[in-house]
Amino acid sequence: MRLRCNNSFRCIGLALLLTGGTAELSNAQGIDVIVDNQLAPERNADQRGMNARRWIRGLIQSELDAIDSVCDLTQEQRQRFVDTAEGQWKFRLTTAIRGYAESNNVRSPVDFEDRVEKLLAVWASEILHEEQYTQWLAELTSRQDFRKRLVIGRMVEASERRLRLTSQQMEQVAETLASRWKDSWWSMYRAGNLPEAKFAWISNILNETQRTTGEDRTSSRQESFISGGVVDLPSKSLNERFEIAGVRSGGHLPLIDAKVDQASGGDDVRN
Amino acid sequence: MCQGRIPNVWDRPREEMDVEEARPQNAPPWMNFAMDPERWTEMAYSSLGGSKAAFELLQRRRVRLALNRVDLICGLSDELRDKVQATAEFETMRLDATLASLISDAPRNPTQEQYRMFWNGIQKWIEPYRSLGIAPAGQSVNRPRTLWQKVLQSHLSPAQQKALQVDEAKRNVMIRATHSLEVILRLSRRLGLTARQRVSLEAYGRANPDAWSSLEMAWATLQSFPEEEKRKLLRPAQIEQLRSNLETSNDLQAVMVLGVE
Repeated sequence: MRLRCNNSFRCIGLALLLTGGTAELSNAQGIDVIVDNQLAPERNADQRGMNARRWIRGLIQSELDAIDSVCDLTQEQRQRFVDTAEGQWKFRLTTAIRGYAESNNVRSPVDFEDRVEKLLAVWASEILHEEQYTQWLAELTSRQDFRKRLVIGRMVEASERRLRLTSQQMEQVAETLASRWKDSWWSMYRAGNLPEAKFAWISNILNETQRTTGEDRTSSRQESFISGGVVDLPSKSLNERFEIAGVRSGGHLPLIDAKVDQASGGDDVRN
Repeated sequence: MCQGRIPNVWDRPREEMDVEEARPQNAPPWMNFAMDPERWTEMAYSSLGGSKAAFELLQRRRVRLALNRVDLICGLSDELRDKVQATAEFETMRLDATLASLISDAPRNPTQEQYRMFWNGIQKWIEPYRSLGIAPAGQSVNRPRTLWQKVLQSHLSPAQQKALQVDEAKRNVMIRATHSLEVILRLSRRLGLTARQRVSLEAYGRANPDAWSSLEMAWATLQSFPEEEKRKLLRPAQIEQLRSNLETSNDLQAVMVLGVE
């Protein structure tokens, strides 16, 4: 058997596991351990690219379901949506896939959700009637409002811990931040960085002691990043066709990379 | 070796480097920590803000901010403020003296077991000061953990305490509402929820925040809903998706088995 991995500790660990802890690996069990640091990035990039494709497909599928639910699509519109999605998803999002695959960091700056949302909005503008499209835009606005409330809530929470705000001050800070809202705050938050409520913005809400004592930054809650970062996404296999209420993409559209997906197991993004 | 140059360690003859010192008779196993009191002190204060001076500064800042909040909510007399601040100063000095006394008996060459036991002993003393402002799970932030907090709480009137509790409850509601928003947003991404569905789920989150505090718990909660309620809330496709286990991302893939040769 030949094991190939990008990290000697992992490789030796796996080999020991397979041999039942025997120290003399290659002689006793006929296992070749290859620690190949040159090979790893390329392989990793392939894997990350594959994950990115599955997440994008998962997001598109969930977006298609939402459009159907909000706009009450006709059969013809459903067919157009799934066909458009199957035919265009990959080349429309190549840069996002490549950007994620080639970045070394797990916390990648690529915001798949945003990219898919914008792409679906383009398709929706082409396929939906005017009234339906208005409904869909209202849904997108409501989504953005929801995100805004979430990020502002988190920023207020952080300020509360640093400056020991009262509940009344928290409400005032929330109002101030809402008036200064920028859409980029959501992107920052998705990438794992909480935007800071700047002192200058909220200083008029604070009293003299809070203004002059300084912040207690040590009291910030050390909790895990529960939004899951940019990779907390639904995934859809490359072998499954897009589907809305039983309507599937046409058989004339090839499933891109389906073979590659099958070869790589198809389920390695799941725990 | 060149003259006029400070010798490096690799300039020494190889044989000399390979000689091991003889282990003393009855030496404990794993004599691999050389600790001295200064190092123990550094370790203790490093988890209290970085240094002794930083800890004192932070302690004063925390007390001042905490008293200020009490003052903003229910008013605070100058007398009590001075008393609490004096208590906090005393407490800082007491902690310093306690740590000095503990560390004076610290083992110089501890085994791993001795090291762990001694460090755990120090942790007991510094823990309330280290995590000040963060309530342990299931406890109120206002639960007194240090001496100055106890002095403050014992001198507040019932009306003041009530007002503080009310404000704390309001703050908690706001914070937990944000947490449930986060969970609903993640659910929304998974299930493709619409605005109307998100609003309905928010009501559930408000009613039972504990069950909506993480994605995993919320998923399980939704799964456990009666079928009729699920049908009211979700579309058939979403209900079908909810039957499966929650997928979580794991982007770490390092080892590849290439097959048997």
